[in-house]
Amino acid sequence: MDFRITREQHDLYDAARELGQRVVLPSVLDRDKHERWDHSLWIKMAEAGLIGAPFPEEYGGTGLSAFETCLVKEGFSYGALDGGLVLAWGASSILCGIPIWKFGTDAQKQKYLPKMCSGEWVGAFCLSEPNSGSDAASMKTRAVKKGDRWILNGTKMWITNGPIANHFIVTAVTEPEAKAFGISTFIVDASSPGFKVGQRIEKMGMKTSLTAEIIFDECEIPEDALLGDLNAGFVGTARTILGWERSTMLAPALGGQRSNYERAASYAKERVQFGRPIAKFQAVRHMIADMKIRYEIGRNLIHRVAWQLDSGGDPPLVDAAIAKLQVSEASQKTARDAIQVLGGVGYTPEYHVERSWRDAMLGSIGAGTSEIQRSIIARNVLEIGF
Amino acid sequence: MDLSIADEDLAAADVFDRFCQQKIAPRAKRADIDGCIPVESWRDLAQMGFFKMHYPTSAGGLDVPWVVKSMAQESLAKACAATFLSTGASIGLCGAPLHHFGSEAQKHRWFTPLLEGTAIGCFALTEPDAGTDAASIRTSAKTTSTGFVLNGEKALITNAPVADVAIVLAVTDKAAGVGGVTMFAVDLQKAGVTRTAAYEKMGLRGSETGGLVFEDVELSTDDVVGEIGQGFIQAMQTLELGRIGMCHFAIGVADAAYDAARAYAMQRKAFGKPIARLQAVHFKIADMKVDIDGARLMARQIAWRKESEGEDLGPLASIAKVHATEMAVRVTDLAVQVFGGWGYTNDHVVERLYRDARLGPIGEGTSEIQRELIARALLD
Repeated sequence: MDFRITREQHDLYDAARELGQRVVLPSVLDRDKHERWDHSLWIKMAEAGLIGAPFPEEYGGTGLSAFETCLVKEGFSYGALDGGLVLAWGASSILCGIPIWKFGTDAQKQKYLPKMCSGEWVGAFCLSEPNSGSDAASMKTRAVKKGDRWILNGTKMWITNGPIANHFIVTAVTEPEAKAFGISTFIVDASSPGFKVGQRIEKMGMKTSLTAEIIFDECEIPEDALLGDLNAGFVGTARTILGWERSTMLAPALGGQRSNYERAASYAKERVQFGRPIAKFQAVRHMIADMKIRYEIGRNLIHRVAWQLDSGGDPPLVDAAIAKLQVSEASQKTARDAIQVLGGVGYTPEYHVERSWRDAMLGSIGAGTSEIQRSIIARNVLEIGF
Repeated sequence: MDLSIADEDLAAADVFDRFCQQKIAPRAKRADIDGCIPVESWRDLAQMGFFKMHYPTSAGGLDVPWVVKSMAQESLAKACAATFLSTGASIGLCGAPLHHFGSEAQKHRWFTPLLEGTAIGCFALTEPDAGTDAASIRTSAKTTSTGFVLNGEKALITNAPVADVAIVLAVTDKAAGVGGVTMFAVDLQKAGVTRTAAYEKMGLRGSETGGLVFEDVELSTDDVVGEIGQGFIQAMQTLELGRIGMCHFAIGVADAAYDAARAYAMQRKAFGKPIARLQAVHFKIADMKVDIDGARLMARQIAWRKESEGEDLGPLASIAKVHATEMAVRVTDLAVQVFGGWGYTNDHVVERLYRDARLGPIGEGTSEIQRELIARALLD
């Protein structure tokens, strides 16, 4: 057992941080304010090998391990302070890219992965519906085979990258009576007939990524758009994504935490009240110490899941849920406390902490609410169902 | 990064865990009521090589891999936290300075018997008016023609009522501040040593805690452990190891509470079903698991850094210690809640675990001083 991070891995982290700070950070306030997507940033991330981080080089990827992917995601987020952009990155590379890589035919992989890694195409993932969130198996979107085509009907909700994506991983019911075992996964190009981007969704945070409703109205896709086995969408595809999303998509939150405690620390050292820097008051000091504690605890939990992915196989559901739960809730607490340390200025956008709190609020909702994570953990350790 | 544990290490840890559950755990309740660790436990632990486990073969130890040692410490704390505390104070807080800084003669006289489990040691730093502010100790060792004469009082010392030897921190040069503190190995049979009555404590009652009063105790220069004037630094290095031990203490206690709460929640029925199926209980079990896993990984990380890589832990030791010990307080509190009224009685183990866990955020450096150390690294 060792917790070693090699010199090369530290360098990857630092390079990603440097890129984020130099290229992304300068415009983040403006993009957050105007809910604006800037594709030129995406291209720069792709050129640096970030967008294709975990994919094999034969598909244009960088060939990093899941652990290293977590490191670059944390590093980038730490420098960029752009929760929305890293969310878009996760939705494309992880939620859309990983299933194509793990379950796609060679033709599917060749068609999508190189253009995703190069930054030309953005991908998205459609699971949630207006009336199907945590209870994902209750989805209504239907896919029916007609000749050599699949016809999709339904509405997907809260789709990150919805307005800009080239293609979408879509879960749909193919065998209603089989419930969770009757759901399949498809790759749907935005150019497909009957595909529509519905209303844009205004959000509290993660505003630098765009979110929309996606509508399938007699949407026609070819037979070979099925991803993986028929009816294996929920138990196969979704299960595989879990470990990835609950490690690599939470790693950026660690970067946000690190930035927040460092910002709180540097502000506390400069801000003088009652004749001394507020960093001399124990109430402030210990709040910052607690931010650091949460960061170090969460980092190990994320790295454990990444290491499990790299060791082959799916990480235990419990371990992934633990990482997701701890890090998402710690990020909220740390962002809240950073605002508290900064006081009035923390409540304004320029110091980045109020945005980080708005961004962090998605953490305990998206990719399975905290309540769902606690259910997964308890069900498994108690060895009972709901 | 490789978090795997070798099969042979898991097997070794499992043997020790079964020993703890079979031999030590059944004696835990009695130890709590009687206020002492049974002699058989010291003997059985010695036979299992628990004391030798902590040191390399060159020092007469067993050179056990660090991860096995970590798991073994958790197992002992899980079976009986008081036994863990007393044995840890003896082999760790007293043994480690003898091992690292002691002379050959001191090792022969004191360290070897500690390894064999035939002697009990204690670590006397704290005084009635000097705890976290350890540099303010007043116990003095004044130079004489033959060595030193020791005067002063130590308080809240684990094993003081039963120990054969104490590592004592005393001021040898008042003007030099922390640089004037020296560490001594004091034979507690010496004239001038008296033990105060054991304190009655909230928890960890099986582990005896008391005070030591020194009145003109004569010491020779051979009783100095390490260097004159280096006592404070040596003590702080010892306490860094102690923080790893406190993590294992806390994780063991929490693990015991978590196991008990899970089993009870499955068996206890209310409203027609096991309470484990009620979400309010369900989620408590989940929160316990999250908390324990986070603490355990952090404890493993610092143990690896210290014992495998030889790193100075700096604030990481404090991070691990404050999180693990406060975690155990939270987890044992939740466990008592899951047990309801029964958790408030000593019919169930969680009542004792709750009391035992409460030492964690106080002993070996309070949570407050740990947070100061963490904040200092970020702010000063």
